[in-house]
Amino acid sequence: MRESLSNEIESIMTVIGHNYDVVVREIILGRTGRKAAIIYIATIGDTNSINLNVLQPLMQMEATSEDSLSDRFKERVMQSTITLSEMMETDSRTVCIRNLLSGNTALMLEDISTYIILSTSNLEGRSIAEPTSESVVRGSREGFVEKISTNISLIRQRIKDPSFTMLQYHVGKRSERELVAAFIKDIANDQMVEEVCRRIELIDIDDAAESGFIEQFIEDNTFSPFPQVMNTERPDRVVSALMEGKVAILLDGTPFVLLVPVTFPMMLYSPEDSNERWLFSSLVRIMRYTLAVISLYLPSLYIAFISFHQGLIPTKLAISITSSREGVPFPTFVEAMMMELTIEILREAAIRLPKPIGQAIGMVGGLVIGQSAVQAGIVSPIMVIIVAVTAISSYTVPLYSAGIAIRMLRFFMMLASAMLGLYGIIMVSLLILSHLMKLKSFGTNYAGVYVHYRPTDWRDSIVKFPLKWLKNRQRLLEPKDNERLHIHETQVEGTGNEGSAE
Amino acid sequence: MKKVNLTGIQIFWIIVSFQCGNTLLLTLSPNINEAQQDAWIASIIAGALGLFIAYVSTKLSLLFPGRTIVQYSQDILGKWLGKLIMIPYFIQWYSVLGVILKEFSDFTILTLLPRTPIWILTITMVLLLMYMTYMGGIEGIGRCSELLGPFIVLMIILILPLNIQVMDWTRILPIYTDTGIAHIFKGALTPLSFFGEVCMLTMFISFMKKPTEGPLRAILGLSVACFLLTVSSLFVIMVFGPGLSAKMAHPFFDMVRFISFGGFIENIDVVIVLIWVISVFIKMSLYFFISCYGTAQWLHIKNWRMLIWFIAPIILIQAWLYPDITLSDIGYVTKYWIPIVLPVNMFGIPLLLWFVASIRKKYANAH
Repeated sequence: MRESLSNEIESIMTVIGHNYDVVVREIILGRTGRKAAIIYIATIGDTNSINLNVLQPLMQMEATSEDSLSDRFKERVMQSTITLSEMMETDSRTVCIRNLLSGNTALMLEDISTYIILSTSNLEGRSIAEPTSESVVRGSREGFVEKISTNISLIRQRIKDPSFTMLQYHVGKRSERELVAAFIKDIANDQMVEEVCRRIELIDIDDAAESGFIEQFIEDNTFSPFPQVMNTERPDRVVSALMEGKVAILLDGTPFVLLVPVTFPMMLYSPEDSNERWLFSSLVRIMRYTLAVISLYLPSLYIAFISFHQGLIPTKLAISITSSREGVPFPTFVEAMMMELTIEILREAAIRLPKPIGQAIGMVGGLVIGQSAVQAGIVSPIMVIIVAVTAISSYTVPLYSAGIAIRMLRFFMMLASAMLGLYGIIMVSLLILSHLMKLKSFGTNYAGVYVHYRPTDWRDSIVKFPLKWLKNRQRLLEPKDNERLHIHETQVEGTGNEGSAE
Repeated sequence: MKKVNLTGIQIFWIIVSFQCGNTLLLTLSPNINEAQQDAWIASIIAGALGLFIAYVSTKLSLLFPGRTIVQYSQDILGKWLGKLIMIPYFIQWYSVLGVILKEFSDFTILTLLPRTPIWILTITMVLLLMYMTYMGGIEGIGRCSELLGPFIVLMIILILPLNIQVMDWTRILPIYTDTGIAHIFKGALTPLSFFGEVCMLTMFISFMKKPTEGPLRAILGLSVACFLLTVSSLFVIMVFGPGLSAKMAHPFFDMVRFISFGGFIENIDVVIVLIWVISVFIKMSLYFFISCYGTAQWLHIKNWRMLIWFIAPIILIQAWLYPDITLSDIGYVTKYWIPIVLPVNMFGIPLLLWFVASIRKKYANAH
């Protein structure tokens, strides 16, 4: 050893600090008479396993004639004494300290210059539960947890492909969190994977506390309202994305796994779509598209028609609207803004409050919006209908961050329609469109599914075709292996329908 | 300059979407004025001649793959003459942008926003154009038309038959005998001068990944536009008759306004405004892009996006300078567009370049 054992201990202790949970144990190795020391942090280490598999065998070592040779002695300790499956040897004190801080134990032997790192970390974590942010009726009930090893095991259980690849990174100068980029090598496009890895390597921050931090560092366009990285709590969703040739980014300490690249239709997918039969999924998906459009346009269209283009409403409807608006003192825009803001306030309050009170807020809000505001003559009943339909439609968007994008754009749209009527709505729509058309997510066109005329890609965009017809992966992502399912001849005969052979 | 790619399908939809709006709305009235009930024949003739222009401009571009007309005019005619021959084009591009902007604002104010000052509309449109061109470039415009083109065509096809109850097919009679060939050809001039705008393809073919797809896609696109124009002129004549529709400023728009179907589909003129705004948006971004890009190539400026800041004010000022609709809508077309742009820019220069280039190629091959 370069320094004596006690000096070595002292220099490690000065780096990690003399904290109460740091355990330093100096021992004598049984009959050999050699000195050794172990250091570990009790709060994140597995004390039981250290006692049983490390301390006990070490202290009961027998002496042999070869013990005087340091190398031989070290090999004997590592190969036949300690009964732990994982251990490693390192020269570097930095590596040793990093391992100590993540719960492992360092073993130092007298007169031997390397550290032996024993894997004894025992981090607390919750057990696997159903994901709350994305619930399904039919599908897996497992959700990711905060511990990255558990999350990886959840994915690995579902993929037995040997070309499933995981690249490990450490992000955060101070937290050194583990980050894993996972993809299937045979499918994922190399250039895209490289680009993802390059951007991950560039992250330099004190602590990347949540995958949201990573998302903000690697996204393409910071000023876009649309989410360019998708997050999910569901292992089955991650697996199906990996199978399409996407990259999953897992971060230690968060149940949200990131998926890149994102395309527009992904925002309106629900993991359930693939589980149900095609007719129903298609119907539901078309409905979701319609509702997304409604939640974006309805209030602004109402404002535009009432305050600019009364002539465009059929006469009877115009009369009934006018009579219901009688006595309302505000212009339509103010009325709509008030109600929309009320909805946003209620939503925010319901999330922030503890669950039992949150429900009460819902009831109060329902009363306030539903009746009292109308009776007080502040808003018209028809406005209540508009706002309620808008709010409910916006909650059908399966991806939460996409819902946020639509809500933000809705306010923008309302403002434009209050100023310029239908013309404003058309202009904002064209602006959003031209933005969507040029937006890219890791080299993939965001809305590319709709504009590049590749009929094979359309089979799973707005309408979902029968699963047997979805033979190829989306070509938009340029996967290496295009075929995702193979129809065998016998299978086709069995269905008795040449249509399914396609 | 970064390598961008256009696909054949994008060329198709670019042509369809920029031809539909303006042509349908503005060419019907002058056409019917001349050719009376035979306006639809004039539309077909205009379409056929338009196809010839599309063919010449795409074939000409194919001789110089990867180069725009600004570059290859210099290859063909030499540096100075080549540069000189581009000046009519620059005049056309710069001036038409201002005219379209003025037309667009006038029409939108007329139909949607009677109390809004005109500068709000011109400025918002120019800002949108700047965003589109700056961020998306030709690739973004191509994708936008790929998405919006089918939408435009679908809308037109859906609303056309809604007036079927009030149509009277005898209004197109007698065919040909009343008007005669001279009037039909005169009627065809206005739609032809709009169809002839496909000569801007001489700028776009160079961006294509597979330029050989260009001619066919361009011809198909123009055929669709010509078909829609022919059908609309037939419908307009059948609804209003030639006498009344010739007096209307925008007979197609009035025809849609006239729709009352099943008691609940009424007042759908908004749809036309929508089609028109989209189409004009695509047309203007195309002109805006080629003005910036072409000028940059002409003056050897590395970053063509710089020119956006220069050309946008020019358009705005032009649109504000037009005193009234007669000068911008009618005067511009009858005094400049048809007598000068049509023979010189759309037929003359491309044919001349094609002729000289073919001879030079042949000469070069012979030696």
